Amino acid sequence: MVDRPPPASASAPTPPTGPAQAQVVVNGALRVVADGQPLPDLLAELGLRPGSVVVERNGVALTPSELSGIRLADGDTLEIVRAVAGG
Amino acid sequence: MSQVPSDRARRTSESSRPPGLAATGAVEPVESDELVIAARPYGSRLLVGTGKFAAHEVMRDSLLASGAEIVTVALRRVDLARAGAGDVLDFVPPGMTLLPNTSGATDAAQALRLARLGRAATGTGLVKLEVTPDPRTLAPDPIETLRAAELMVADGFTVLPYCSADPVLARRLEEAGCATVMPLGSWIGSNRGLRTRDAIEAIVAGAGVPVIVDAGLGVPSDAAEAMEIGAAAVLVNTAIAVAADPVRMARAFALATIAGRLGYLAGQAGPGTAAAASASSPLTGFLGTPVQAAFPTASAPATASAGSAACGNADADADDRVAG
Repeated sequence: MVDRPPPASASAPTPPTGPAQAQVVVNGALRVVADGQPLPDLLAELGLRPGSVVVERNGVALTPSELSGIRLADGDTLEIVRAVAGG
Repeated sequence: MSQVPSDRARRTSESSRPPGLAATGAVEPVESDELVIAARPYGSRLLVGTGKFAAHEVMRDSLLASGAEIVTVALRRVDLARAGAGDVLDFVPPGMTLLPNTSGATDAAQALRLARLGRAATGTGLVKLEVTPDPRTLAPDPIETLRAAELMVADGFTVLPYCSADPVLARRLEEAGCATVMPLGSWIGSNRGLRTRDAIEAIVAGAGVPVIVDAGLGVPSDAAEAMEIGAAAVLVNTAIAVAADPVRMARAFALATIAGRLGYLAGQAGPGTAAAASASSPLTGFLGTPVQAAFPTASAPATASAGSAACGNADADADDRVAG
């Protein structure tokens, strides 16, 4: 008898319990965060001083005041950049 | 009895030295000759890039020595593994205007994206537009640069585009609403100087916005040359940053930029012919010339009237020699 991959539903992980999570992409890497986490909290978690970086969320560059009000949602893509030496 | 120094000695003694550069104003920004970009005046016509310095502290001291008021920075993705790395902005002296560039962009869309991040980072709409798809030469892409300029102007940016030294392109960028044009002197970081001199002169002749020579200026005299032919400013990075003494080189570029600007403002006489000199000293009154040829003398009373005539002609002859 030929082995068949089991139907997808059979191995689907049980949905996580507890606080809802969100998968976001930060500078190209997948990261799981609490759904609705304030963006400034994530920056603090990453060890980034507020005001030392700029963030582009889903293709839109955020000013510092815009950034402070952002809460992360599943599927968000973030690019965190900073000014560096350059000509 | 005290010795009275001669005039010459007095003039050269320590206590009465000529005032030198400090008193001429040459080391100060040229009075009432500000660089105006998008209606904002700047006292310095030297813009400096922050790249390639061995240390942030050296960069800071070099920026101060350059007198620059506008300094460029780039934008890059944060390395999250090294989030605590030193921040270049902490070493840009306060009061300097940041000019974020779009380096790394290879098309108009990428440049616009970087410009928007730069605006979010600096709070100003100034952007040094650069689109350089060719990794070997980092030559600016004229078509994508023009496209990006149109998009950025529409988005409210003050656009300073790095561009080829091409008078037609410069005109098109100006018509698109760019605040300046920034043609290259030679390839970025090449230190090969003002290889595009003729084209820069043509751009200056046709431009209604400041022409800032960007890229390739390798020694202070390159900056002076660019300013002498009418550039409104120069942008220098590599030549300062990689010099053995960047701080001293920054000052050298500052002085050269001022010197070239003053030379331009002073009105240049232009070159003469390669085949002949034009004397700077009088061509009359040479030592040892026969006196009777020029002046009547008591020893030759018989020829006095002829001598007078000769005297009258002698100056005319000398003048002819000067004119010739």
